[in-house]
Amino acid sequence: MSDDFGWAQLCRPPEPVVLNLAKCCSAMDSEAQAPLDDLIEHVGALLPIGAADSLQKNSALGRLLLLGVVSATETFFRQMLARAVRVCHRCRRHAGSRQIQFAAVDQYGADHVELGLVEHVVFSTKGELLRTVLKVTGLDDLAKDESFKAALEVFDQVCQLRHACVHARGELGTLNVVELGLDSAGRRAVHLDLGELHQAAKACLAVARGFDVVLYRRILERWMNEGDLVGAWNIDRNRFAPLFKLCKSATDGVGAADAHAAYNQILPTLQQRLARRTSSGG
Amino acid sequence: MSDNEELLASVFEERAENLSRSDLGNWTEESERDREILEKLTGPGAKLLIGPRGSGKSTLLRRAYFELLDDRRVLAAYVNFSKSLALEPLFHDRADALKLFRQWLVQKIVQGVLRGLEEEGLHLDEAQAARLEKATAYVSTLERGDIPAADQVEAWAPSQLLTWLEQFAEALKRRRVVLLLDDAAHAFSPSQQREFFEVFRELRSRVVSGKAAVYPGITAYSPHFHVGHEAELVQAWVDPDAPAYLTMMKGIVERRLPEEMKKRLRSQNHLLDYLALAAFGLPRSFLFMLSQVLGVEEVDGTRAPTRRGASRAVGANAAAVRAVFQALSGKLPRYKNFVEIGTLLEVAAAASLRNFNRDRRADQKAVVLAIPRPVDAELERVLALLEYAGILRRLPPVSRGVKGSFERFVLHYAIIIAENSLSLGRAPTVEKTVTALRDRDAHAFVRAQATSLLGSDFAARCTLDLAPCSKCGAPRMSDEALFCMRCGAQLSEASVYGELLHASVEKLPLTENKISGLKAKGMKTVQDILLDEEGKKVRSIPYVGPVWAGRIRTCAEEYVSV
Repeated sequence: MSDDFGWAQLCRPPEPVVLNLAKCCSAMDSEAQAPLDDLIEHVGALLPIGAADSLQKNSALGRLLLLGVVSATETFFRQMLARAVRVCHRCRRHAGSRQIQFAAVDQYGADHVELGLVEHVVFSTKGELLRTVLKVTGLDDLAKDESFKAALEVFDQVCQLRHACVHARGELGTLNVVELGLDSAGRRAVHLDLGELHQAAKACLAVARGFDVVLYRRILERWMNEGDLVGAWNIDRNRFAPLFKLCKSATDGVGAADAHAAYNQILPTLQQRLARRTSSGG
Repeated sequence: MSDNEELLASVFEERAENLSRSDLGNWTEESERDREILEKLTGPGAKLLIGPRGSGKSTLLRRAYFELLDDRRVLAAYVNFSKSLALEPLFHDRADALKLFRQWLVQKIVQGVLRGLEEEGLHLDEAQAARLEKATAYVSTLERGDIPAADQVEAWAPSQLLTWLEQFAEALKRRRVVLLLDDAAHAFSPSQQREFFEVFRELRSRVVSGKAAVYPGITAYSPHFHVGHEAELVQAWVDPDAPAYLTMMKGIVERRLPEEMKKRLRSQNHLLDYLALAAFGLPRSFLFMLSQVLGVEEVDGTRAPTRRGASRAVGANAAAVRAVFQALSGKLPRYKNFVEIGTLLEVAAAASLRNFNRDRRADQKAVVLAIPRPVDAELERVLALLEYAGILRRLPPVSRGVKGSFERFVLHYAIIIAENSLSLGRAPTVEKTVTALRDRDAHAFVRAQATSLLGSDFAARCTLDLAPCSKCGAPRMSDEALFCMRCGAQLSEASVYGELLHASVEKLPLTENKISGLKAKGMKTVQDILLDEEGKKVRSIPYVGPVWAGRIRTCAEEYVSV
């Protein structure tokens, strides 16, 4: 008797596949703009795909768009943390003991090797985000900002939905239901209409904006407290300007127009701190 | 301010919140109906006290409050949430805005409870005094537009507040706790409104009950709050057709006005009836018209009241009511188109009644508009906005068998009079108007289709006025869209509070003379009036004394509040 089980025909047989990886994995442009602007642009490109009636007719579309938006938000966090290590010497020093894959040196090059620090991190809960921030930058009190903390709570909920969309075609698992505080009776799936998809996207942008501001503030505060800024623009600009460029959103277009104007905004506070350090002999 | 000026300022003070306890007690007429309402407000169970601006909700809540303070068996708190719109900018600036707003609600209640004890003459212990100080500081910080420090106050969930209220009542040996919550509608911020009703729903137990003053028409409750089930509706709006109505309104004159003014009105019973009816059940409007007819703070302030003066006062009242309605375009900008349709509906309703009433006897005239059921959603929204402003008063629906059933609405009597909708001829006497309003057929109504009043395309015009995308100019596809469906940019909405503060004084329901006076003194925006905290600049306007100064400030404060 042959072993080919020719009699077990339950469905079409599997067919061979060869992926043209060189074609579908093309070279990427390096980042030119602030990570927040990159995120805003990406979200802006995704959402118009989800017209109200299309979302109603095809529940997969809402889930896919949600995945796209959350994925872009995770990329934002990675870019922010990697570039924070580049612009802030204290973050860089703190990250010094962390390991990266050797191949990251070739993949990202010397200019962007910091991305190797965060490439395997999944920012799928608020806890993981805060832990990674601490590990990479040494900053542990971002969630003390109440506005950012509130944004993080809602982002956490979006991540629960995303988890269901990635792993179970939208069906919420037991943990998802528990974390979301939903009634546990009966199976549930994620279905996003226009309003809910846009709310989820807004939540992602809210947490990104909150993170952007809080990271900027905390890095600056640490510099001020440790005497890394001297209160003279011509000296401080080399440190300050790259941080400003990292965090300033040209798309949102609010606040100081350039690094010098932003520096002048913090100067009174900086001078007070410097005076305190001087008087305490620090 | 001289004693006489102070007295006048109090006499014509339109807001119950600004009256002293003794003035409120001495000047308020209590009818059987009022007594019934007060029993509900001082008793157990959640209540929603419903009525338009000036219908006496605050008066009833404050009277209930003072009764409970005197009783001492119940722990009472009176809390006014009119400044909630000052927190609206937070919803554009901070992700934790809801949390801050909820805490503002909670701390205002804590503040109200502890102040109530002080008003009873009880001394607060150190812990209570510290709690009151912290709650007050927290509330003031937020209302100023600042953010309190995270540890400024111990943040409580509504359930924790409920526990504290119950334990506090037990410690003070009080049987119950009654929370009298004024200006609770938060009608101009859906997020605030939902949040308020969620908190209100949680603040109830065998011991604790809340009574909230809300507006008709535009109060949207939270998804879990079922009106009728969660709280009983209590109508504050006095029915101008009630038999005791005229007596009740004239009682305000007797109790409140100084003798000299009463003397001038003594022989003018018909004028008082006329003004009372034109007030349409709103004591505030009655006071406003009385002050005009008596020439308070006018050149000829001692003149005898005349029919012409009364007619002018009624016209001014009609204009003031319409101004409250028009202000909705600023407070609810997305409903701008609905407000425009509402203005047309009001005009069409007045004309429709006028046509109906032509050649009809006094006992056959109608003041009620009847619209066939079911009413379209768009029209229902327009009617709700008109109800809020007090332009229309909703009556119970009526069925006429095979002819169908109808939703019924009474048009504001000041508008009916000003537009001659009773068809009484040119310059009808005051007596004729009063007779027509009192003797009319209570069952008569004018049937009207929305399409005949507003045109066949009116529904298409009832669209939300959503600002287009500021980046690419594309129209906003729907209320739910938060991002432009053409370019993907996030859609932004300006802060309502900010826009209201910068609104021109022309938007306020004031006479032209007063508006010109304000502008002449450099007060061009609502904010300019509010910044003049002691009223010095306003008082420097000719013919503006304490009464008008108070009224101007009230108009400005109410313009930027719910």
